[in-house]
Formats: sequence, C-alpha cells, structure tokens
Amino acid sequence: MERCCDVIGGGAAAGHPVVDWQGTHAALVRYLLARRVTKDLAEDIAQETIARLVVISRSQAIASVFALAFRIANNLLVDQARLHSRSTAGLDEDMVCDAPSLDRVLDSQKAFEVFQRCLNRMPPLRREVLVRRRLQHQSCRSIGEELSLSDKAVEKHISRALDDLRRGMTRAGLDPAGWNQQWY
Amino acid sequence: MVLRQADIEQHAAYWIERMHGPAVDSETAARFDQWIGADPRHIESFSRLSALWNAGALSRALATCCARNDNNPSEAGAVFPRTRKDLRAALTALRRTSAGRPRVLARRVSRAPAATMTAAGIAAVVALIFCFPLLRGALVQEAVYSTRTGQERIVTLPDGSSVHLGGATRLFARITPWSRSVSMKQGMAFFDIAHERLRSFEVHANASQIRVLGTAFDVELLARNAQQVRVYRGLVQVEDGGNSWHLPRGSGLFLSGTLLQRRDGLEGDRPDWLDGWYDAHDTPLSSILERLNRISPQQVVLAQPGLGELRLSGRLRVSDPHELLDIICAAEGLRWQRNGSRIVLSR
Repeated sequence: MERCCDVIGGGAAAGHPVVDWQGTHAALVRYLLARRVTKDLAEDIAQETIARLVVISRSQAIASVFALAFRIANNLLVDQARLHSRSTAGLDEDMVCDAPSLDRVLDSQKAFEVFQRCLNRMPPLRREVLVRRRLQHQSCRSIGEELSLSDKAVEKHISRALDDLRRGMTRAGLDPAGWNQQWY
Repeated sequence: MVLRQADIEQHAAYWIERMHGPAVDSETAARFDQWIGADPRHIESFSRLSALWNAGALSRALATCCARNDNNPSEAGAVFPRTRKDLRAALTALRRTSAGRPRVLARRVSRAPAATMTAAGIAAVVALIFCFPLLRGALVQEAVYSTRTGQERIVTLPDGSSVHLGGATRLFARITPWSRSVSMKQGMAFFDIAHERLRSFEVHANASQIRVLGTAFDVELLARNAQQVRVYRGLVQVEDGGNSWHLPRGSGLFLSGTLLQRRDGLEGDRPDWLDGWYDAHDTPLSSILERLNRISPQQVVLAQPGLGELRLSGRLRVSDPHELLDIICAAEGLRWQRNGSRIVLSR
C-alpha cells in the first residue's frame, strides 16, 4: 500500500483529483470475487491492476477510474485464464478446478446452448440490435440510423437483451446472480 | 429485497451498455463512478454482467444466429431457418440458378426432324465402323477430376452434364458417343445430368451402379463402403449386389454393407451441402464428421470411436467447422479441443 500513498501525492500534485486507491483496490477485489476467482487470485489481480492504473494516472487524466480498473482487471483475468489453461493442458478439467470461475462457466458449451435458446426467443429487433452492437461493434448511433430507432431505444434494447440473457442463465442454473449458490 | 436486486441488475445492464461504448464523456464517467461507489452490490452486479457481455460463448451464439439470418434475408432476423419450411424457402431462391441447361439440350435434340436424325444416325454408325480405330482417341473423352479438402469444383462434361464436386473428392469420367459413365473413387458429388433418350448416364460408386437418363442427384461415399444417393429431379436406378431400386425425386438411399435405408421427403432441387449445410436425420456423428472433414482444414477426430454412433438430427451449418462443433458439443455434452493440427472431440 505504500506505493499507493506515493501516487496519491503525485496525482494531487499533477492537478488531478486525488484517487482513493484503497477504495479502488477494495472495489476491484469485490469485482473479482463476484467472478468467483479465488481470494488469492483476486488480491493478485487487484494489486497488479492498481499498479498499472497508477502508471497511467501519472501521465493522463482518467475519466472513470472504476471503468478503467475493471477493464484492466478483465484483461488480466483473460491472461490468467490462458496461462492456466496452458499449464494444465492435458489434465482433466474437472480434476484441476472443482469450482470454475464465472468466466469459465459463461464460456462453456452449456452457456452457449443457453445463449442460443435465449437469442431464439428474443424479439427479432432486439436480437438484431444485440448482434450489431456486441458482434459487429456498431455504435448505438449507427444502429439507430440503420434500423430507424432513437439512441435511447437502441440502449433500451441492449439492456433488455442483457437482462434476457441473464435471466436465461438463471433459469438454466448458470445463475450469475446466484452468488450464494453452490456450484456443482 | 428481490425487487431491489432486479433494479440493480437493470442499472448494471444500462451501465454495461454505456461503458462498453467507444467514447464515454466525462459526465457519464463520473456518474458511473458514483454509481459503483454507492453500493457494493453494484460492483458485483456489474462484474457478473460484464462477464456475461464478454463471454466467448455469447459471441459464438450471436455469430450462429446472425449467419442463419443472413441465409434468409427476406425474413431478416424474424425466423431461424432451421425448419424444413425455411429450408424450402432458402432453396426456392436458388432454384432459378440450376436445371436450365439440361432441358434446353433435350429440346434441341427432339426438335430435329426424325428422318434427319435417322440418316445422321446411320451415317454415324457406318463412319464409326470404318474409322473406329482412328476415331477412338477423338471420340472417347476421359478425364480425372479431383478436389482437395475444403475445395469445391464444378465441371461440365463433354455431354453437357455438370458435376459439382465436394471437398476431398475424386472421380473419373468417360464419355463416348454410346455411353456416359463416371466412377467415383471418394468424396461426394452432385450430378445434374443432361437428358438424352438413348445414351444413359452411369455412376459407379463402390460396388453399386447408379443409372439415369436425365436427372439431378448426389452421391456421397462414406467410410466402410457406405454410400448415400439422393435424387432431386427425375428418376434414378440404383443397382447393388444384384438388387435394384428405383428412386424417384425427393427420395434417397443409404447403403452400408447389408444395411439399407430408404429416405423420402427430401425437399429442394439440390443437396444441402452445396449451400454449406447438413440436414441430419438421426444421422450418426461419424457421418457428419466425414462431411465436415471434407471441408475443415483441421481434421476432426473422435477421442473414443464409440462417440461416432451418437445420433443427431437438425439442420447444421458445416461451412463453419468451429461453430458446428460447438453445436454438436452442446447437443451431446461433448467438448472439443485443438491438438496439433487436429481437433479432438471427446466426452
């Protein structure tokens, strides 16, 4: 944490608002634990994320500290998962990990099946908006223009679609909201 | 309390949308930080939805539904062309493109006055008898056509018939003034045969002969001497081991050793694979993989041979091997992984 204290001073001196690194660290750990990674890993990734954030904050103003922190943490999680899958290649997955992280559950065949089912049931327009936004990375504005929808309507479609997917996961027992639930 | 949680999830969904945009203005960013800082549950909810939004399985599911919709642009996004009805709709659109030429050829032949035909016929026969040794080379046209894995090829034979070769296919064609024949060595091919009243067209596949006058049909050679014939136009006669079957349009035959399966109710006027699909009807996984392996640059193998007996039904898109494997795995509780240059499918 000493390093963090340095940074708070640095940030203030550079004219940026003082960042509550400790609070950010706590938020990161919570963010990572919600993905059901182990406590150790959550701590490690949170620490590494803060270190990177600190470097960035020295050279530029960060619009949203949390947004950036979460994004960095996401990337580190992906890297970590890759490393993990390499080091355990050839071993039976179930033997290595008895409580898979949320990211692994959401990348499974079962999840794929659930997503497909949800997409099938979704109103066609909502599905179309989701495909363009998530798969083709189209901006809300261009989606709106092409489908004759307002920006607000596009946003609404996406958050509804996300809600549909989340509910689908809940119904299938792959519930992201079920943090108290026992897996397997 | 339950309602409260639902509210949080909804807000989180809103923020996922906003924060995954390309540019976030400072006002929105500040509001996001404020929302995150307001309640620890906001962090958790945002975290889980973020995982959902970024899930690889979601990309794959979206890619699947997207591709299917593309296949049926008239109903953009409205219906997934999975059912027979949709298959028919997709094929109707293609109907115009095929089967024009053979009919034109047939008409041209029948329009010639009968007397001229006869005279020409006699002259030809006489000429043949005298000049046979000389002409043989000029009259007999032989060629080998083949494709590599993942490659397709359409060839027009000297008689005007067209043959569409699927991946990893090899056949030998021999066209003479008195006969037309093709020997299939491996793979699959769709034949659109120019109609001729006198000169039949024969396909030799494994031990069986398929004899036609003017039709459209496809033949697929499978492992262990199994094969499948399906008819899209006209009438096909299949002979195998002293037995003979007449297959009218819309029917098919699956032969494997002593096992024989008739299929009826085929729709459309060309095979599923020309458009990158596989219509499985209680089809063994091993047959589907054989088809896939004609296309896929990475050969797909089974970790346990017994898995090949699993049966699948439905409309599968073979043109995207990874997607197909995802669907097979989802349906059968299997998983696939790359292993060097191969893909291994296991339980």
